[in-house]
Amino acid sequence: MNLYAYTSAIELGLIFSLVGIGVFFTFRILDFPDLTVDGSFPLGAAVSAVLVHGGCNPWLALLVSLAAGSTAGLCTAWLHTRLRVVHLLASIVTMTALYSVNLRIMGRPNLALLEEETIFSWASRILSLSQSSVILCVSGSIVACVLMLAWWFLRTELGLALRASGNNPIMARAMGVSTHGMIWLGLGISNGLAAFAGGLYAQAQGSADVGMGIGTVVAGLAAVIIGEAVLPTRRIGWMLVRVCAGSILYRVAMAFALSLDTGSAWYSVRSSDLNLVTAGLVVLFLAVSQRKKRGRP
Amino acid sequence: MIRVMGVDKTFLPGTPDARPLLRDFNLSIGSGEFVILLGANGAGKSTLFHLLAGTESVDRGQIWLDGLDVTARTEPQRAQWISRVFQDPRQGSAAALTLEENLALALRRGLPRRLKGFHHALSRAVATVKELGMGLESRLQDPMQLFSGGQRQAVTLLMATALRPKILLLDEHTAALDPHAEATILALTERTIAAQGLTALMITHNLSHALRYGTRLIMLRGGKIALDIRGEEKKALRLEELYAKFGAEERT
Repeated sequence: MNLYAYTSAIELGLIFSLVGIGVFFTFRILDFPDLTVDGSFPLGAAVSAVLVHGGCNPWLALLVSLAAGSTAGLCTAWLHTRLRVVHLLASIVTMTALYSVNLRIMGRPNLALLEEETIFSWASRILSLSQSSVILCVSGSIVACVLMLAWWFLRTELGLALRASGNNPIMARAMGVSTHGMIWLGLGISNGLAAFAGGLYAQAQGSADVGMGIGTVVAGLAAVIIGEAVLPTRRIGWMLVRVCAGSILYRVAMAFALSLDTGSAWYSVRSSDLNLVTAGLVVLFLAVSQRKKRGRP
Repeated sequence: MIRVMGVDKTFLPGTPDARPLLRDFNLSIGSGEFVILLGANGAGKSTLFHLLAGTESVDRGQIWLDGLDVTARTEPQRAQWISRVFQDPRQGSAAALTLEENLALALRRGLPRRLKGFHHALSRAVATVKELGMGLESRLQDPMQLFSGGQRQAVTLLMATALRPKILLLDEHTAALDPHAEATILALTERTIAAQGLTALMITHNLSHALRYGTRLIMLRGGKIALDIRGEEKKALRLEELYAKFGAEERT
């Protein structure tokens, strides 16, 4: 495995750690298993790609991606809180609808960015860095900013209400917290982050594809779960940090698995096997953490 | 303080299992009264609590709080006036959040949650934790799931009264505790109600507690008020009499 494979794995890990934080907000904080991110990640990519392709400022494109993703999250929240659709199903419905929406936005199944200005080409000009190191620097700084923001938010009165409403909705309502309102807020944040990551990914890779969303939730969940396995903590700040650590570890492990060349077509891992491997990994970590839980008094 | 007027509530309305819980129910509770609610299972005590707190809505009738019609207000909206302590000690606080975070949450009961760090008003709540004398002030950073049932119930009571509520609803809040913890929590309850001059309702199945605590005793049966005594009359009531009344109510 060469250095290039490592850096690109870390880049991917950084970008997907934003998805991981989004998934952490829904699955862990809100206790709402939300699959919308499988649709909002490519939504963000599509929006960013189309805007950048049209000559829009790439930073503005990312913000529009974020807003579009939040809107998708709010759709799921609306289905669940107003129409009383079961959470999992509500998110699947939105995710399915988003597939068509994304095709409409792009007007074709995939869109390549060639000469257009992205935040990365902009930063590499400003900082006079090479393309690959600039992706690391810029994604790293963005992830650090998001971590700080999330950490600050979860320690505000509103963030506390969000955490309480996921952990004990009965108590939260008795304390005057609208648990439905918190579902809107949490899904908005989570899908906004996922779409932001999608936009970032499209700008880093120079392309958006309508099928790129498959496995986003599981990848995010893998980041959360691997993080929990490697860094036990009760502090909310560290919980956020370990999602990023989990995401990077996950991508590096995947790159390592892909680099193993056994010389046989059947026994070596192909990139198309990644979703199967990820699913297996998530099941394994879940089983281990369940066993640990049962061991406790 | 509380006026319940002509309230109907049916369990599973419109189904073959429909069962009236309250029929044309009327109740008026004055400010500063500490009401003990007695009654067999299904008498309507919990239903009354749910309707007051807003977890369930009335089929007909009105509920007024302190001169305000709150019938249409949701549960979170009513939280600014009403606070509750539940039977299950695990329900009153968020298990994964620390003691400190739970207290901070209670300091904004019924108020808008702002984008502002939660630590700012905490010292006041920490002082009340110290007053408990349970040594919990050294465990502010521990998640609530590490605390015992009695400790959690004491914290829930602190949380319920961290901002003075107009009404405190105690739903068999000591029923899940061991006798020692029960005595501690009941003493704390009485002390808090007296100190803040609260209007409170307490559901209990323990007849001696019903005699010992409270300024007024209401016994429900089949969704109706079967007994309503207060003041000197309540003080004069003896356990055997109450037991006979309770039994008589059950037999008829």
